Amino acid sequence: MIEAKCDLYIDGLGVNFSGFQAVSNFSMVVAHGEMRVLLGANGAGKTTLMDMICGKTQSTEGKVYLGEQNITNKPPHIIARLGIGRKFQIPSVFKELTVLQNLSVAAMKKVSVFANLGSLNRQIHKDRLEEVMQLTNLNDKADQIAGNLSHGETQWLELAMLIIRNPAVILLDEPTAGMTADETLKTSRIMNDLKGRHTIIVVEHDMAFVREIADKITVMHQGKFLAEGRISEIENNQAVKDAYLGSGGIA
Amino acid sequence: MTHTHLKIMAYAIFIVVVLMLPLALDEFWLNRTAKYLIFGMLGVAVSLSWGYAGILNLGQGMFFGAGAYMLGMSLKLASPTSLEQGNDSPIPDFMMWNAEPNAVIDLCCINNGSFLWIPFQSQTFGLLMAIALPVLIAWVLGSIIFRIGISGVFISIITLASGLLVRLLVVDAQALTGGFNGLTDLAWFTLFGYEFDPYSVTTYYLVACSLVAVLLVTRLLINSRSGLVLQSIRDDQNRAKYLGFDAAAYQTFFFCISAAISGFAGLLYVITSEFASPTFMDLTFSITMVIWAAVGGRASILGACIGAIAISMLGSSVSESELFVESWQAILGLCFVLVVLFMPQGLAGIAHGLCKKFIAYRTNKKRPYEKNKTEELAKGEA
Repeated sequence: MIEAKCDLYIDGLGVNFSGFQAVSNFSMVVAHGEMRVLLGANGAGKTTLMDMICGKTQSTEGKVYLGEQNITNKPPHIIARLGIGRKFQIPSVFKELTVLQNLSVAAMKKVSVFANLGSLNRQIHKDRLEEVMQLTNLNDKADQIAGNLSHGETQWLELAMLIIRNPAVILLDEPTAGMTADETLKTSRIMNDLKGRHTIIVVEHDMAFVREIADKITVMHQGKFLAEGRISEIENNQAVKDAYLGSGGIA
Repeated sequence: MTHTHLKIMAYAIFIVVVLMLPLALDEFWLNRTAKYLIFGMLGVAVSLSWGYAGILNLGQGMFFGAGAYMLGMSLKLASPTSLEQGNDSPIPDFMMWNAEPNAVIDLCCINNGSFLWIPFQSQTFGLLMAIALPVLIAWVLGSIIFRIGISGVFISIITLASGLLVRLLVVDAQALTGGFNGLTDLAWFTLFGYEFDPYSVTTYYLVACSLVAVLLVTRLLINSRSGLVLQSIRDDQNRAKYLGFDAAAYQTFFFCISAAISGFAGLLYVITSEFASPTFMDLTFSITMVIWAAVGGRASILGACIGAIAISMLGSSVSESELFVESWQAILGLCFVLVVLFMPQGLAGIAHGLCKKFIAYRTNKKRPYEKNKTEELAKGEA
């Protein structure tokens, strides 16, 4: 299992989609155990930035380091093995498998096909499974088919699948999208529980939720770095105000 | 009693029935049934790749044919006609017919490429190649398809096209493969000095035990951690990748297993039917296999296996009755349409539903209080 001890360095990262510069010269340092929120209007490049970190999109400039290791443009499954977990905006789980099976797949320590020819019962720690299900409010859903879960539960299941792998860095793309107020509250509890154990980067629009969880905020605008700081600093930052002028500020 | 228990029971009943059949059937029907069991094996192969890996392979016949031809070549060389061509080494009769007038009568150089047959004088080599060649083809195809990330219907198109291509090559290389006629007039398969008469009980048991072994090994594979990862890749390939699994490696591995099973079925078919033909690689045969799996239930290897056996049995008995001799294919087609429309999970889906009801019935009978409680709840909800 991967030890959570690395920081994430992003150094001048950018991508050019055949002429369109979606992200340019973006740099950011995320300390160990920090909860960083990425803010920005639609099209600011937040999701693209996450895609480049986890290997979904090939960057055209700059570097990404996980601790000492350069992970720029490595294949997604290699980056995942090195300790970066990604949750997608549209919740993606294994719909025809049960919740327990979903988590068992995620919990496997070995990744190669030949190493996994053994029985399912070995290698997987029941305690850990139960601990994570408890944390994500899924403890009484173990035998349910994932496709039958509610939207909120599906989001938590995907989150649980990341947590159980114990990755150093977790990337969350709008974890509360489409959730009820109650579900959002529960999610912020889960997030606060994870704080300090993993380095977490969250893209989120719900400012109430951001206030609840954020240590530090980085604001992006049109693919570029705009500002960074604590929530009060960001709310009073002139550049941020200018960028959002007309849309009534970010709150 | 749980669902797993009923599943194990279903397997046990099937295996017992298959092993007991020689008590009830004469030699002619034993040979026929052996062929149906081989088709059952193909059902398992299709279910594994389609139901569990999400790969709809329309070129399964290519693997079956490759298996059949590889052992067929060995058995051809061992047949009396090949040995009686006035030479120390055996020469297949069709090679003589296709040879140039002044060609050297020897396997090395009678035709272009006939030297490829030389190692097949060893039946063990033929046997090994019958599994190795399908796996090699599957590995090359799979590595390309899955590495580039081709998915869904495009996999079907590529496998379909490669199947047609291989069939064309086999038919075209008449001097080497017997062309349209295929390989006929074959010797009996021999193992450790024992000759397998296709119409004997022993050959039936060879096939039956092979099928049981294939069923159990496939079941074990599906129940392993890799089997679970494979199903997760079927459901959401990206999610699996971002959990650290190399999706292409898993898909290629199970594609190769499916090809190995098909090749194994092909070699058994040659043993029981004493010929190998390019019709094994016809598109219609590959599609027939898909229909077997669809009717039996692609998400269940036992279901797909039984589906294959039942349909091919039905097909051959219907096609032999005077009434349906012209229309039996239309009838089969209609059955398929009805199954797809009304039971998307196939026969296995129906069995699954019945099991659930049975379990629910038993639990209710044991604890009548709880039954009342659930009924009250249902009323309350209504």
